[in-house]
Amino acid sequence: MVRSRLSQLDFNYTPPPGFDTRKVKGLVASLLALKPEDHGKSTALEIAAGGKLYNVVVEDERAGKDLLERGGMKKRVTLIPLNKIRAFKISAEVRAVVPLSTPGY
Amino acid sequence: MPNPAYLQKLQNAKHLAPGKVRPALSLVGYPDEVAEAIAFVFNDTLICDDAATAQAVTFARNVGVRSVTLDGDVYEPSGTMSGGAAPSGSGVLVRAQELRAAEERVHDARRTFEALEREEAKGRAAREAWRARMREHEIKEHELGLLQEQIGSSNAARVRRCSTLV
Repeated sequence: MVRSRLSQLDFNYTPPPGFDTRKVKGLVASLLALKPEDHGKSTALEIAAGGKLYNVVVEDERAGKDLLERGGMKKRVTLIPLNKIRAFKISAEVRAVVPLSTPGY
Repeated sequence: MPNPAYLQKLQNAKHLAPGKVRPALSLVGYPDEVAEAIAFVFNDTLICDDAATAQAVTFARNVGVRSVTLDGDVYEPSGTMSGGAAPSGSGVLVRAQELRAAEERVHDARRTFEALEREEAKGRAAREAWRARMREHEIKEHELGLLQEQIGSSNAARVRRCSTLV
């Protein structure tokens, strides 16, 4: 019921034969947890992330390739392979302490 | 971007606007394994409480980092600014929280259901054992009745035989 109001948060694919679904971590937006007192900063964070909010995090470039070629996705998606991405380094000072249970992907 | 430089900029930004600026990355939680991807998504962007802060921070020579205000206006170190109308699809992160909470509730409910089902199965085994035992008991009682009848009749026969002898 909640999901039907959230078509933006939908990410569907058909796992090709032999594909390990654990290698798909999910949409960035679904991976983020926000403390209740920071809900007022939701808009700012969404703008800060921009289109990348709807990128999909995958384990490695092989899983990404499988997904793009044989995942049967209905929408165009950008994938972030964890083993290839080179990002700005986060330090302990910058990381938030937000209790988060890994969503069921 | 090397870390020490960013920490320095962060400190400078906090000095310019105490309590009104923090890195976007410091506001979100995420599973450890995807940390690198989330860092890529937000990069060094700062979240500022108001436009004055964002402007001061982004255009300060000793900060010069992209910042976004709570209203969603963006200040780029290159000089561009964007904003105006309220962004579409706003609140998606809050709704994602609701979705996660709902999914957790579904998960919990399913687990409770499975536990109850297991208990029910265990109870069913006991009930079936009881029923089988009851059936056995009834059969035994019936056999006992038959045997008693047999004995009774044989006794009677014996008595009859005795009486005829007398």
